Amino acid sequence: MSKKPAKGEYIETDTGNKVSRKCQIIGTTNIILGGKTVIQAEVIIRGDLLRSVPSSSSSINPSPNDKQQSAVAVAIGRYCFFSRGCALRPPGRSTKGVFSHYPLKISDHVFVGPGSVIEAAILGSHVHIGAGVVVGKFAIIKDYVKVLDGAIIPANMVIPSFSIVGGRPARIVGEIAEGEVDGFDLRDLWRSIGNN
Amino acid sequence: MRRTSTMPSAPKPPTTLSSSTVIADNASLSGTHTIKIGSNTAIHPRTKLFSGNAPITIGNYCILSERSITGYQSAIPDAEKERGGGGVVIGNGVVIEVGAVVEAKEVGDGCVIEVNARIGKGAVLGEHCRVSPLCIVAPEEVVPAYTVIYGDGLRRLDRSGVKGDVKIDMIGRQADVLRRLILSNPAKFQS
Repeated sequence: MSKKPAKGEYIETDTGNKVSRKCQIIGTTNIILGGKTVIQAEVIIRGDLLRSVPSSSSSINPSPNDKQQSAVAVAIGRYCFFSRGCALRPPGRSTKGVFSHYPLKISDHVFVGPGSVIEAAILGSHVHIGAGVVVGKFAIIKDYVKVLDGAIIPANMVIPSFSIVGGRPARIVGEIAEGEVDGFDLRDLWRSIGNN
Repeated sequence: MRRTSTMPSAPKPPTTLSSSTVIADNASLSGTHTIKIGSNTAIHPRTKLFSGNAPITIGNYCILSERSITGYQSAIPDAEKERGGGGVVIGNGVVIEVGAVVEAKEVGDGCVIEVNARIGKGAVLGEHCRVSPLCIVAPEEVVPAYTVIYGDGLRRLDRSGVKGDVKIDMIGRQADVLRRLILSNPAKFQS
């Protein structure tokens, strides 16, 4: 009878992260959560895809905390929201005949819609990604960008700040006006998610 | 839960794995027909291979990513069975990205099937095709070699890019890296 204890859907950590029990996080030791981040059910985060070659700057000037730096596959900032079924995966490529994955960096207040697949290199802060979006390998999205539903961002694309992108393949279709940036704050969304 | 491929007490399908196959512990192999996986092929966690309706043959130097589903999802017609339908046959150096659904009869060498693309039942992809994210290949369709399917179903031929041994070599390096990163457990799937 003790099969269903009174547990909520989310595990809440000391730093305020709300992580669903039904998400699939692989390689937890290589993932950094900045705090107050929501991870919903069926989200896949691939922390096991670590960088396999040392970064060029550290090979010239090796520092003692080198090992710690290289052990991060996915870094996520504060107040991020990952909707149901999205996938975060560090991008990989071959350079000079050596294949390696590279860290996926996500800043603060990033919203990722349901079913989206993120293989970007960097997502800036206050980025809103809609549902069913595919962000290609090594894409760089700067701050305050809105990606419309179903967009496919090609590999290596760089999206400047305050742009709206959409389409297959994604193009810049508009700009975010100065007054519109209020909707990007995810603090209220974080508060609304919980076990009750 | 909507899971068609993992029945509670599904018997393990007969498998033929190479000693150099990298297969994640929580990949899912199910069905009743034979699943054959070639050498230096890497299978990410949460990849699904379903051989309930027809066998699956995967070549050497392939990479199958998480959430992708390979294998016929519905029964094959009797006419196909009489012709000795070999089920899904995937060539060498094929990359299947996250969430793609592959029900093709044949996927040629060096094909890339990107995120959430769908290859319809019984379709044939020629060598070195590339199916862009969210693109769909209709069932029974025959796609000539070097075709790139992109945008909203647009097609073009592209013979540029690396192919042959160079491409196989690149994917082989990727598989080598994955061998170190993925917790491989071939014993679990061996029958």
